[in-house]
Formats: sequence, C-alpha cells, structure tokens
Amino acid sequence: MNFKGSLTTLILQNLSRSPNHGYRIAQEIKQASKGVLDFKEGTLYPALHGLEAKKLITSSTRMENGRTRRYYKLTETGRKALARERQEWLQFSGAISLILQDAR
Amino acid sequence: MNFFRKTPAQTLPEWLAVATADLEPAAQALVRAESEALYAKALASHLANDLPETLAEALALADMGSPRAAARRFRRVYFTRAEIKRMSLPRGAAATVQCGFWLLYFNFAWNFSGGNQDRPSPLMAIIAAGLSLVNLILMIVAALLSRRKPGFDQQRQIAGIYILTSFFSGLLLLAAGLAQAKWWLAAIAGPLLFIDVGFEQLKYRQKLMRFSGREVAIPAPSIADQREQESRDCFQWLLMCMWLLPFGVMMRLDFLYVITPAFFIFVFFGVKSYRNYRKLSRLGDDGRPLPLVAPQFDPYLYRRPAETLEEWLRIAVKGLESSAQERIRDEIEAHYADAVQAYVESGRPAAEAHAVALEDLGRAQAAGRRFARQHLTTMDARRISATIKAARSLRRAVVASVLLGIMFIARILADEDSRLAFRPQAMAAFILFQFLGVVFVTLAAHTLARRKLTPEILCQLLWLEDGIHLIFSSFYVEMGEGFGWSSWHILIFVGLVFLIPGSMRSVRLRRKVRLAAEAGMAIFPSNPTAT
Repeated sequence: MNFKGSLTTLILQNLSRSPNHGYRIAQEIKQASKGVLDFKEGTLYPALHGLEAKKLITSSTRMENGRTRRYYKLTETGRKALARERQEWLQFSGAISLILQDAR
Repeated sequence: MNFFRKTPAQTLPEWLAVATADLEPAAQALVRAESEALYAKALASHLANDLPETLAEALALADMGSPRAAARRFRRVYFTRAEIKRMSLPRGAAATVQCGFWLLYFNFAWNFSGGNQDRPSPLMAIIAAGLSLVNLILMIVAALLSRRKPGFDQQRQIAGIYILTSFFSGLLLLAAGLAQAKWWLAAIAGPLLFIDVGFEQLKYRQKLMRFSGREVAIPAPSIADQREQESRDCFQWLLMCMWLLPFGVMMRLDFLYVITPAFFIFVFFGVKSYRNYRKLSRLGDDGRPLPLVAPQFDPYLYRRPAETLEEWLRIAVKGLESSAQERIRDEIEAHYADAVQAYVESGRPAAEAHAVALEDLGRAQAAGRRFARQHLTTMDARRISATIKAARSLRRAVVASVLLGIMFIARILADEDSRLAFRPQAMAAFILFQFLGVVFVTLAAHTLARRKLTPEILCQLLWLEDGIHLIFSSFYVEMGEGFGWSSWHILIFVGLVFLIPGSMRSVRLRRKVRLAAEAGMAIFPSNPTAT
C-alpha cells in the first residue's frame, strides 16, 4: 500500500528519531506499519535524494561491516517541515475519519 | 573592470603553448625553434648584466612580448591547424553552400530592384541580374575546382574566386540597398560584411602563395574526420531547412521560385550527408568495413525487467553523470547486500533471497526516471559546458550583440505595416528594450563566467541564459505579428513549446547543481576555474 506524497513525511518522521540509512529506513517503516506500507527501493532513494536537495535532510558516508553506508540526518528545516506536515496530516486524517464514522 | 585580463605566461613552455596553440605541427616546430633561440639570446644578455637568474628569466620572457599578440602574428604568417584541416576536408560542401547563397543574393537583388513591384527599375534589374549571373558562374567554377585533388593550386584558385564572389556580392547588396531607401542599413552592412570575408580570403590566398614552394603536409582526411564533417553538414542542412521558412517570409522571398526549391535542395543535401555518414559509420578507422556484430540486447530499450543487480543498476543509472552513478551504485549495492543477508538469515535459499531482494528494488526504468530528475545527467553536463563556453567568449558576446543590434534596428526601419505608424514610440522602445536586454544579459554572463566558477555562479549563468531565451521568444512574438498572426496565439505557442518546458528544465537543473555541490559531486565537466 502506498499513498502518494506520504513517503517524504514518513522518511522525515523516521529520521526525527536518529540518523539512519536507506535499508533501515525502509525496514522500519514497513515494521511500524505492520507490513502495510511497503515502498520499493527505486522510490525510496530518489525521494531521499530529493529531500536532500530541498535541504530537509543531510547525508554522510560511514564504513560499517565492510560496506559504505550513507546515513541521512534530519536538518532543522526538515524538523520544521515535519512538524507542519504532521499537523496537516492529522487534521486531514481526522476529517476523513469523522466523515467515515458518520457513514457507518 | 578589465575584460581582457589574462594570466600571464610564467615560463617559456607556457608562452610557447599559448603562442603556437593554433599552428599546424610543422609551423609549430619552426616557431618554437626560433622563439627558443630568441629567448636564449635575451636571457644571455640579461645574465651578462649580473642579474639573478630568476629575474633574468622573467625579463627575457617579458622581452618576448604577449604570447597572445605573438599568436595573432604567427597566425597571419603560418598555416593554422584549421586551415590545413579545411584543405583536407571532403570537397563540394562549401561550394554548395555558396550556390545556396547565390539564390538568396539573386532574390534580394530582384526584390530590392523593384522586380516584384508594379514599376520596376530597369537599370537596377539589369545590374542585379548581371551581378547574380557573374556570381553564379564563379560559384559553378569554384564547385568544379573543389572536386579536383586537394592541393595548394586548387586552394589558391578557390580562394581567388571567393574574393571575387565576395566583392560582387557586396556590390549587389550595395546596389540593392541603395535602390530602396529603407534598406540603407543593408546597403552599408552587406558590403562591409562581404568585404571583410573577401579580405580574409585574400589573406589566406597570400599565405598560400608565400608557402607555395614549401612542403606542408596535407593529410588525407581520416574516416573519423569525414564522419564528423558529414554529421555536421547534415545538422547544418537541417538547421537551414528550419530557418528557411521564417527567414524567407521575413525577407519576403518568393515561395515558388526560392523558398520551395531551396527547401528541397537543402533536404536533398541533408539526406545525402546522412547517407554518407551512415556509410562511414560502417567503416573502421583504417577504412575497412567493420565486422558485422549482432546488436547487444539492451534491457533499457526493450523495457524488460532486470534479471541481475548489475543489470538493474545499469538501467537505473543510465545517462547520469559518473559521480551520481557512483553514489547511487554504492547505496543500492549496500542496500541489496543487506536485504539478501536478511532474507538468508530468515531461512530463505540464497537464489530466492537474491530474486526477492531484486524484486524489492522495483522497476529499474521507473527508478532511473526518478534518479534523472534528482541528479545531473550527461545532457545536463553538456548544457552546463555549453553555457560556460558561450558566456566566456567575449568575441561571441560582442558579435552577437552587434548583429542583434543591426537586426533589431533593421526591423524598425523595415517596418512597413501600420503597427509602427500606429504606435511608433512603443514599438521602437520595445525593440530597443530587447536589444539592450540582450547586450546587458550577455555582458553580465561574460563577467560572471570569468570569475572562479562556483555552483552559485553557475546557477546565475543559467538564470541569465533563461533571460536571453525570454528576450528571443519576444522577438518571435514580434516576428509572428509581422505574419499577421494573433500575438496571443503566438505567446501561448511560444510559451508552451519553448519557455515553460525550458524554464522547468532550468529550475530542475539549478536544483540538481545545488544538490551535487552539497553532496561534493563533480559539477563542472572541465576546468572549474576561469582561465
């Protein structure tokens, strides 16, 4: 399941806890959503690079278990953007829930 | 602000590299030997005055003068690489272009002498027809001569003919310009242009005569050179086809007698060049036919799913700049290895783990499109390179500004319809604004490009390039109005076809440049600092 446009918010939310690399971001989103949200990696990395272009996150490389890993970290701008998007999403999902509850 | 500031040569090899850069190898060797002897003599005289060695070297180098001024002098005397290459290029192309120009001269002369009006001037018509006929004969002779074996004699004869042709063309435009009071600018600019071309040919011919006794190796054109020339010819014919209609209509050329035949002639030669190019593509550098190889199966072309990680990566990073490719490869490979390891640890067989991990990556083609939106592609790199190159050339900036100035002023003077009469000040102000805009933007770009290039400066250059596109688009709108089209329709057309997609591409490119800079990836395809 994949709601278009929500991936960036989910990535920002994941990175708000601690810096993380692509594979773990994908896994943690999948686990947190109990397997409902499953993004293809071909979507995840361009989204990460796009967020970096918008300066919402930064990246740096580290060696780990003999592999070069690129860790992404939330910036202050990214933190503000996340707060704004979270607020909008909660308002939006709350409104939808109200309508759907009425429809029952 | 000094536009001409250059880094001075610090050593003799640097001086020689600048001074002999354009010369052909034999002339280079000669000039180098002479210059080294001069330098040694100057150095010895300075050392004899008990000067320290470093100071003596600097003074000896200063005695040699500016290497750029020396390069100009050498170019006047010796053959350049370009001239030698011109002698060895496939024959006929230049003569064919000249024949095409002859058609234009004839049509100008016919129109401006009043041939298409109720009361033509018989004298002007006779002059126009006479000069056009002479030019035609000269060009046919040039075309026939160019089919002979390349050599000094043939080059001299062709240069002589071009001198005469330029002279007669100048006369033709002078007569045509004088015949129509409104075309006084053509009467001045046209002959000057052709006289300039004639003088260039004259200098070339003098050089040919000076070296007639000396052996200058005229290399047979290599297959690669021929291939390049044919592809360039094909592109030029295509461009001429594209320009023929707007240019012809603007210049009031006759559709039946000039535009249509010229279009078919251009198409004919364009197709011929393309076919030659295809033939040459099948030959190796030694001139022998290349062995036929079955085309390699390209998954990107056939859009089948990738079967291995390497194939997936090859598709996803296709067309991206090498630094972006490297970054994506590193990330995806690490991700894939993690995924495979996790699947194996969860008890799946290795082959299945690989297959599932590959499936998790999604469609490579879609990922490739997304990556291309975020990272610099080779096309972007080419555009950056072209932007920097165009902005750095002062001569190009000045020539473009002057030509545009002439074009815009001619547009004011040549306007015969009621628009200019109805609102002359507004129209003249608009055209003046266009001209000043182009001059300002071009010079600003040049000034920026001469500074040390940074991503910010590059973004500003791209902005300025967009500005030039905007001004040119307004010229199209104005030209379209001349055809009687609604300016709103043209605005919408130009906006949809050129400006909006172009601006979107520029915005994306600027964003990519910033991302690449922040990620420490390569942006500048060549030397990043201004020379």
